[in-house]
Amino acid sequence: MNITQITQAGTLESNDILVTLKPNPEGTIEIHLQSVVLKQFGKQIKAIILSTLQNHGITSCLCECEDKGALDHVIIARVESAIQRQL
Amino acid sequence: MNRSYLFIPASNAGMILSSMVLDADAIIFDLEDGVALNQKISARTLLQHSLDTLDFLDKTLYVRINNASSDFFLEDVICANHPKVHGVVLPKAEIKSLEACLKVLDPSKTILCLIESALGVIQLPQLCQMSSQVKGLLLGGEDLSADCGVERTQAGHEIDYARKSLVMHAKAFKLMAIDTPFVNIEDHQGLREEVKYVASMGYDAKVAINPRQVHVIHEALKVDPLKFKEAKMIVEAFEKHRTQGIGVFNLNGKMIDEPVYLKAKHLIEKEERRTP
Amino acid sequence: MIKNSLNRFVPSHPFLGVHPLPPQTFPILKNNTQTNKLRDNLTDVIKELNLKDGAVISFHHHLRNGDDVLNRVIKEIAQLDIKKITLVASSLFEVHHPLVHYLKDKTVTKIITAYVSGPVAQAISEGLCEEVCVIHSHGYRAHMIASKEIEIDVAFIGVPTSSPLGDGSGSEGPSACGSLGYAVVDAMHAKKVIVLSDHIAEPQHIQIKKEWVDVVVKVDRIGDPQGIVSGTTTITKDPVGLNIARMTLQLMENTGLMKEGFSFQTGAGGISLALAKEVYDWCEHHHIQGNFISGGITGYQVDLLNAHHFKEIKDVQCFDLKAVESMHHNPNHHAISADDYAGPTNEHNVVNQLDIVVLGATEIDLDYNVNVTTGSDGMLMGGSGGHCDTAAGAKFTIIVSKLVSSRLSVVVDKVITVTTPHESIDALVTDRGIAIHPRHQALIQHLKENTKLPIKTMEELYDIAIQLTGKPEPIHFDDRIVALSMYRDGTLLDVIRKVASEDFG
Repeated sequence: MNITQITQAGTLESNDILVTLKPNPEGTIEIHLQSVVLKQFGKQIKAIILSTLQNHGITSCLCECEDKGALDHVIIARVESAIQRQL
Repeated sequence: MNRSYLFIPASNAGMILSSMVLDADAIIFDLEDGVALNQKISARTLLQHSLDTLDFLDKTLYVRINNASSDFFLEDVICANHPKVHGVVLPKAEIKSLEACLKVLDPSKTILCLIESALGVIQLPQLCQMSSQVKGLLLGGEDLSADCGVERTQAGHEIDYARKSLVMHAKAFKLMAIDTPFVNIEDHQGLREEVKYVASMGYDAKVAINPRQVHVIHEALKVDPLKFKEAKMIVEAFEKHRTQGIGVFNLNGKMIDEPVYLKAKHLIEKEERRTP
Repeated sequence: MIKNSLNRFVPSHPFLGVHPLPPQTFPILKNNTQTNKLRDNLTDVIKELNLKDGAVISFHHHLRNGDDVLNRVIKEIAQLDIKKITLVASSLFEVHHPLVHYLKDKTVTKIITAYVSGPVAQAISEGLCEEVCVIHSHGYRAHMIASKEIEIDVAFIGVPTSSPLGDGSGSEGPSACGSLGYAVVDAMHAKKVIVLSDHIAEPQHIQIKKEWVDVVVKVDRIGDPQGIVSGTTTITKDPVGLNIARMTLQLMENTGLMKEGFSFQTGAGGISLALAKEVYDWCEHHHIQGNFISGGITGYQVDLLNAHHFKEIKDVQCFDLKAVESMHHNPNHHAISADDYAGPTNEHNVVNQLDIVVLGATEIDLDYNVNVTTGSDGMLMGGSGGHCDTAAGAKFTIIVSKLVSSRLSVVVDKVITVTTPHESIDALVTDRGIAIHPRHQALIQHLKENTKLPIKTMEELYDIAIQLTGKPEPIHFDDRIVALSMYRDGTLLDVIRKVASEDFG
């Protein structure tokens, strides 16, 4: 599916992540991540955002995320919710 | 036997993560009034993933699903059918909503009927007998008083009838009676007094809307150690007399017969069954 | 590089285990009986010191984040174009951010301290300080200065109330900050002692003696008393933290050490203060009176004293204004020097008399080594403070912390920096379980049989944490060493390296 509008899910509270999906004119998946645990988990967080997007058939989007220490399952949930709001 | 039921809004990732280390015996993940309308679906998604991933240790998990007449109801019940979930809290429990719930909820799941409307109160006899899945009754004082168009007060006279009726029905049909939340979070003394008051009329547990209330609730529900000691003495003495063929006797100036014995035994069992 | 007993590589003086230092006392040679010490121009006074490049100067941190003295003095020194200063500051906070500039321009090229946070810590971690810094304990600082292992050329001491001849008090005056415990040692042993005060008067309770003082400079203000409140001195409202405090009290009870006359110290973090409240309620319920409370003091410890749950407070620093007030008015609230508190060669030091100490940690590893010096990101953000001193002295040392906070686990397989060695750590209490050091088998059995406390091994806690967070990437460092983590006997526990700058785009 395509990302056609700007949608958001999550919060900036501790242990959560704010995910914003935007259409990407470049036609690729681009992830911009800010995180309180960037050094320790940045790689892991990006990977999980990417795989969640891919699992939902997304091939192009700009994904901006502000992470406050969310665990993997929370990240997946928030990305899914942002995708769900596209409909 | 659970003493406390703590509401955790399912939209709050941090609170879900801490829920299993808080002292409450049971957790009610809230998809209903604790979650804003535009967050309800994302809260359910978060709850679903949290149930799949986290270890909730020995906590009893409930989900307060949305109203049976809402768009969210069906999917909420599907979420509540998760193996880790013990049951649902059914808001605005009335005959119609209970019927709707029973149609889709997994038969292994418990239902706690949240009595928060005038109709719910007068339909108590039916609600208690419609299904063996119904294991408890919760009093929803805030919504109930709103339904009746009256002010909700700390003294609680406006919910008095409902409170007493609920516990009577619970006792008649051997269901749990769980009292309404105490909204004044900082007032621990007030909470303690209310818990003791409702416990004295038979309530088994209390809803907590803030983790700091849990400790207070547990302390207030503790049986007086002297009363516990006395109950043990009564039970021991009665059983000893019974072997000698004596059914009524005097113990320290108090007449002990079967009803007194049974009451003492019940107190001991209840206290020992409590999650410590 | 030499391997120490914790398998860490250090340049010299490797830590080889916890061994008490032989008792030693150091004579105070200072005796300035002059009568014309009072001055009113700081710039002139500093000029007249004739400081040379490479001078060693010292400051205390009792004005905490309200301190004005250090910044002011460094500025004056810089204006005289003096370079390569070694700064022996007992602690450095956010308020000392101007120091970053003076690191860059090489006015200051070495920092020796027990605690550093904020921009200065970050600057050191980024390699802006020319020489290798030293992060030591409060106790060791006292020893280091008194034994002349480090010779202080000039000690600049902010004193809230000073007589014209130099008799000084910390608990009186508009900038009252309470105990001057970390300034006393400097005053006794520095070659030259310059007192800065904004209130010239005869003090009631003398902490700094006039014979140690060379010059008293009247300044308009030495600092902001509101800045004394360090921000960590309120009890936690987090129910998880309150639970941890409750479990900790239960553990303490079961050690058998909480009896009439027990002595106790707790840190200043939110959970530690919740514990102080638990101890208050416990003493009230059991009608037991403890002997003393020690360390950094807040209103919560003052409450314990006021209720007579403890006989005495031995105060080495005040963390809030209630503590300052209490010190001034309550004869049982005593100011103590850093040496009396934790001096490693001081036979009668306070830490050795402690029954229980409760401390925080950034990290604790599978061996029970503790880190309070660097954050989980490898950046300098603290220091030993009194951590390794109290942990070594107390009969039972408990670390309290949430297991996982914002995806970071307090339990790691190896701490990034060792601040306190495992020999001094007895237990860790977290919201997801309690780990007791294996040396306490009897206690572990007792707790499992008689309580419902969730006793686990450190490995089990680690597994629970990793299950939740996933395995973190290791932090990358450059080879360059920017600071040394020093134990209370002067040996080296660990090195702190420059944090690598990496792009995670």
